[in-house]
Amino acid sequence: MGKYLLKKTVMLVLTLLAVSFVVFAIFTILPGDPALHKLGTQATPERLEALRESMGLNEPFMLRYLKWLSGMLVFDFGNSYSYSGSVTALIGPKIPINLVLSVMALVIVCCVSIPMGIYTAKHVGGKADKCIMAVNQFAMSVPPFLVGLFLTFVFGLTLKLFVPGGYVDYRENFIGFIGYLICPAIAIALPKCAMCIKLLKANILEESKKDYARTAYSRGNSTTQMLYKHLLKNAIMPTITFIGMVAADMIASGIIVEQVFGIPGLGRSLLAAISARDYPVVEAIVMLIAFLIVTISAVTDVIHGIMDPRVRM
Amino acid sequence: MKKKTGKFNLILGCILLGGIGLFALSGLLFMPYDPEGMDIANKLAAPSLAHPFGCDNFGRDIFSRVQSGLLTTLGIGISSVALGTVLGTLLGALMGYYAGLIDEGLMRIMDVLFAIPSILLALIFLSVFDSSMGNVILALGFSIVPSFAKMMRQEFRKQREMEYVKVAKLFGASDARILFVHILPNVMPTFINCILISFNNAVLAEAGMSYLGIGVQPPKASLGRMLSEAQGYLTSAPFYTIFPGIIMILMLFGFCLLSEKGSEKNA
Repeated sequence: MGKYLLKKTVMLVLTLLAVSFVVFAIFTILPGDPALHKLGTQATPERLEALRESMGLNEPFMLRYLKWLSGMLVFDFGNSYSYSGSVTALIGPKIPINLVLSVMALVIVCCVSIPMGIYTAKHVGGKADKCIMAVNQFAMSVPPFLVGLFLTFVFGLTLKLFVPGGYVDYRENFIGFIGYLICPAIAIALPKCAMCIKLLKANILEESKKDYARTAYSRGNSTTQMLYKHLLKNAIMPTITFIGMVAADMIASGIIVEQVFGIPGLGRSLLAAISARDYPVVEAIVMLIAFLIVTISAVTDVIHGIMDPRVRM
Repeated sequence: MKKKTGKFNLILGCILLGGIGLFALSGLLFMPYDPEGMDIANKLAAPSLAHPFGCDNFGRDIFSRVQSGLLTTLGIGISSVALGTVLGTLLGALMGYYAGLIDEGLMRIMDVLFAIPSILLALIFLSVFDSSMGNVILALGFSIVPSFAKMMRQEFRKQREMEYVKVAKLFGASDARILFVHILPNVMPTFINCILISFNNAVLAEAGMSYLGIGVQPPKASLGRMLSEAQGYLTSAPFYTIFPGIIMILMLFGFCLLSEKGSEKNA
């Protein structure tokens, strides 16, 4: 187990290093001079040159990369081009928003899809199963932002349960903040829930056809015992992997759903920074998301390894 | 029982996509109004016989805009999936068939690409280069490649060990011939399924990007952008959201049903 963990950690660090290099390289190669963007086309060549010098744009690529990389280790992402503050101060307060939103969505996915998946597998072919699967099929194909629009219309404008666009900051009123995030979280979670239910059901049904299941049945286990003691242990594996992927994907789909509900999270900063060519901010957000995704996938791998020793080899 | 629902899904999916496709194609032959022609007198006019889907905030006919938006979306989807399929299959075939160093190296690169969500990559790409239709296609096409290559790699890896591949090798067939003449037809179900899933993702990503305002630029119609504009008029003109929304859902639903069919066949 120790060896497996070590191997995973080394891979994690290497992947992150590669990602950071790619991200940094992309923004260095990309056309568009940040100094020119800041000063406008009217600027004199001397002023441009002076600004480039002070922004550190004239240093060699590898030196800038190493400086950036070592800064990141102490959460220093450099200074924003368009605002005169550090990137950390700019995006730091937004991280909790996206974290809470993703965690809420993830909780919804787990709490809804696992019981539903088990239920449909247990009652396969029944009326309830057919209804759930039909709704499921449909829910899978609706993009999150459309679900968001629908929820805004029903709960915001018709039932008036929340005020669309009336975001409450978490530092002012935490309960109100959580309340406002419920609908966005549902919008993000719904399509993923549907996929998760389908996957879990398919896995349980597949496991139940295997030899060990038949043996367990013949030894007098009841269906319920079978399900929770034998089948679920094996069937939940791919679902855990999938939920890990979902967690990673949620951060990305959060960017769009944020716009639907007018939440000033990382997505909004990212879009603003992209259009202002504020590369340090974009780099920081992309790295943050990449870090989360790589870590989540490593953690799911490790959970997998703990639950199924065969994977560790 | 299972077979019957599978067939039902396939038929329903075909009908939905066929209907949507016909609706889009009919826009090539006949559009009731100019999708970019404004008419302030009809601003946010409710659906009527003259304007079956109503009019938007500039008095443009929503029916015509949906038609032309669908054409754009399908055009972008088809071209980006074509690009992604060619590159993804090539990479997947190389990684799966040759294994060893090529495979290891490319897989690590894929891991890195997987760490940055494809929609983010596309966003950055489009914000730096202008969002012309060609660039949207390039961005979406490349974002399809990693997952496509990974799926195809597994299939090629499986087939590599099969008898018929060894026999073909004995007969002196070149690697390229083995890969694309012998193996590819044998992995057709996965291949088609990959294409359908990619198409679904491409359309979804296109909608998301144009909703964010990055993607096809106005006044050109696009379903995602129409929806983001319509959001401001949810109470005063709900039809503005409803019609483009329904068309988009039906199209994605159709793809979903078809790819479902493919994956069942696979199992």
